[in-house]
Amino acid sequence: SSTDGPSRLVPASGLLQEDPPVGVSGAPSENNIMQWNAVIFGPEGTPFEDGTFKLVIEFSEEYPNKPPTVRFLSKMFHPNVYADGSICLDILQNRWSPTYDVSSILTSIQSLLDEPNPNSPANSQAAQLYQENKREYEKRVSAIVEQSWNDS
Amino acid sequence: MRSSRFQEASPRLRTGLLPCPGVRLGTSPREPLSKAGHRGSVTSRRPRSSSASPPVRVLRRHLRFPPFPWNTRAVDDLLRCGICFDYFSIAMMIPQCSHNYCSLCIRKFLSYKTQCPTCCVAVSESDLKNNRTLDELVKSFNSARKQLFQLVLDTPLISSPLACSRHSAGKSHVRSPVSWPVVKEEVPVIDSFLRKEEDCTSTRADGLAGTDQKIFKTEEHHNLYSSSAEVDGKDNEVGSQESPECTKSHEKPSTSVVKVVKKVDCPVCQVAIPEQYINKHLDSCLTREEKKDCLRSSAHKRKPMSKVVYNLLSDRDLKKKLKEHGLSTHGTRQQLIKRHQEFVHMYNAQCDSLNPKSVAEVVKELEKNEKIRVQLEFNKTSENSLTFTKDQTEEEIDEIHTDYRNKHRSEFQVLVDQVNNRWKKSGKRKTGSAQNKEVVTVKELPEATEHKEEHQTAVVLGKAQVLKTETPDGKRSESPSLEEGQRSVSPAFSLSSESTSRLKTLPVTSSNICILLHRMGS
Repeated sequence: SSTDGPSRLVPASGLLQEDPPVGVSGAPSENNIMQWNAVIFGPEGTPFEDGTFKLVIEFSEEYPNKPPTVRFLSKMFHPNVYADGSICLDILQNRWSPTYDVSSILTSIQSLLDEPNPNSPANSQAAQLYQENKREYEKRVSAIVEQSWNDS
Repeated sequence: MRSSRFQEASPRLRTGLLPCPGVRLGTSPREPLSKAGHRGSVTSRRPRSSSASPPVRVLRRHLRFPPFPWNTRAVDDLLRCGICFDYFSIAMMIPQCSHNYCSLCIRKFLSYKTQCPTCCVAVSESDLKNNRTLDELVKSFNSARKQLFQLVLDTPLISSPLACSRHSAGKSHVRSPVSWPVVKEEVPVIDSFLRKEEDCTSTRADGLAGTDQKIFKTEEHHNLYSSSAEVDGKDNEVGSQESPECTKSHEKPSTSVVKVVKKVDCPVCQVAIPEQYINKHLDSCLTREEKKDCLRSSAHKRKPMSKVVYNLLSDRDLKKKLKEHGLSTHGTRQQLIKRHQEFVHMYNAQCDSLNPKSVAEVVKELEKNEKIRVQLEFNKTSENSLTFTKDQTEEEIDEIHTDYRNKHRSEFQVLVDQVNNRWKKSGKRKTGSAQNKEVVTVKELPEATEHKEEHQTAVVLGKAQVLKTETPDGKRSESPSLEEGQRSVSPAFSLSSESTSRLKTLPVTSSNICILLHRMGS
């Protein structure tokens, strides 16, 4: 095939393995293999549980040596997610490694949901509530969880 | 015993070939990366088996082995580069940590970050060392893999004696897209494999008169005799020998020759040569060795090109550099730099090879890659990608998000269904949290609405709307009847642009995939 040989030109999935990660899925959007649509289900036993969050992953020409841009398309309320849906996560920035595939990106984001890092807030309100008022934080989160069901 | 082992393996066939639904949240062996200090955990977190590959290779990766009972898969994983997820191509080892990558992959990455992609140890390009054993392993492993596939393709699907002709077996494969044979029918596959292997070894043994250790030496003999035959033109009988029997027949002349001629050992191939031919033989032996193996003559090793500081290079000099190697000088300065960089990477990676590609070949490959990239970029722009500016209001952002979600609604629905199906199939989630399961089912099947009283009415309304809007395009009504595996595989097919597009129309069965793999020459 034309893309054979070393150096990936197109993103690697990792989602079609024998034991695909649970609660995440992704595939290239129609006609554009460099842009993937993805879904992350909120992890069980967390305020995000049952949320079906939609994301888009954009790969640049420099992939896999540079990380892709990942963005939530569903409304999100999380200390490390910006208003435009982009995500502040070290493995998508300075700790990126070309050994990551779509599957590992998605599982990382999934686990970020319940393990935010309030020290580098992208959403200061969410970060503050997370630290000071968990109850209110969880209320806001369940609102976006419900919203995620409607925004198909 | 053989068949019971095979039965064990066959469930793996179905779950392994298609996205497996049998895992539930939290029990995945794939631990997500921790956000802090992931550095240490990278290697362990991501088992090699979880790495994946671009579209076409996704399939290859997961279908690379027929369901043979031995674990070839683990070996396969070990022979893949962590960057391209393909088999090592000119494997290079980082001596500090023993991690291996394709020469080109790691050289490219080191131009971004001078560390090991797996363990982050500091590395520079000059540290890299060849790991030729890996190259050899890949080579022999690949040919074994091809043989395995060939055997599966060649073996009749219907439970029938092995006498069933290859020809018709192949045909039936193509004609009827039947799924993998069931356990009972698979037995002949394995039997035939073993049989063929036996046949193979026995022929070999016959030919070599049972002297296994002498295989290589005897081959050398063969070479020697054909070359010496060329030399003197007398030994026609031996010179014309091409078949495996040559080893037998060559004993005849050799014994007859021994009576007359004194023999000396060739210093290169250690074979005893009639003294009068030793010089001629040595010439041919040496040239052959050179062609086969440049390792002996380090003088042949190509020197890698040094890095260029492009900032200090004028446009004219840059173009001159490109022309020097026969590279195109079209494009913006940035494109030219990229082209030259890419060329240097590719050229230098070839320097690590025992048989480096010529500059012309490298240029050709580079042009091919550039074409693919252009195509990818073109698709990117044709798709309206998301663009955000700094001073957008939340409403504006919401609108962009909603637009995109709507545009790709059915694609997202497939993904959601995929996740749900995995849970549904696993059935394990029921015990964990009944409510979760219900949410899943409500979204899955319209009939499941009896669960709605457990949720807030507003939510249920929302869901009902979702379901309603989806019924018109027929997607929802159709999907439950489809095989879960087929549905989950199809997006994977759609990703590999040209080659697999026509496959979308084919029902995705394992045998089809096998045929596809075969066509792709894997």
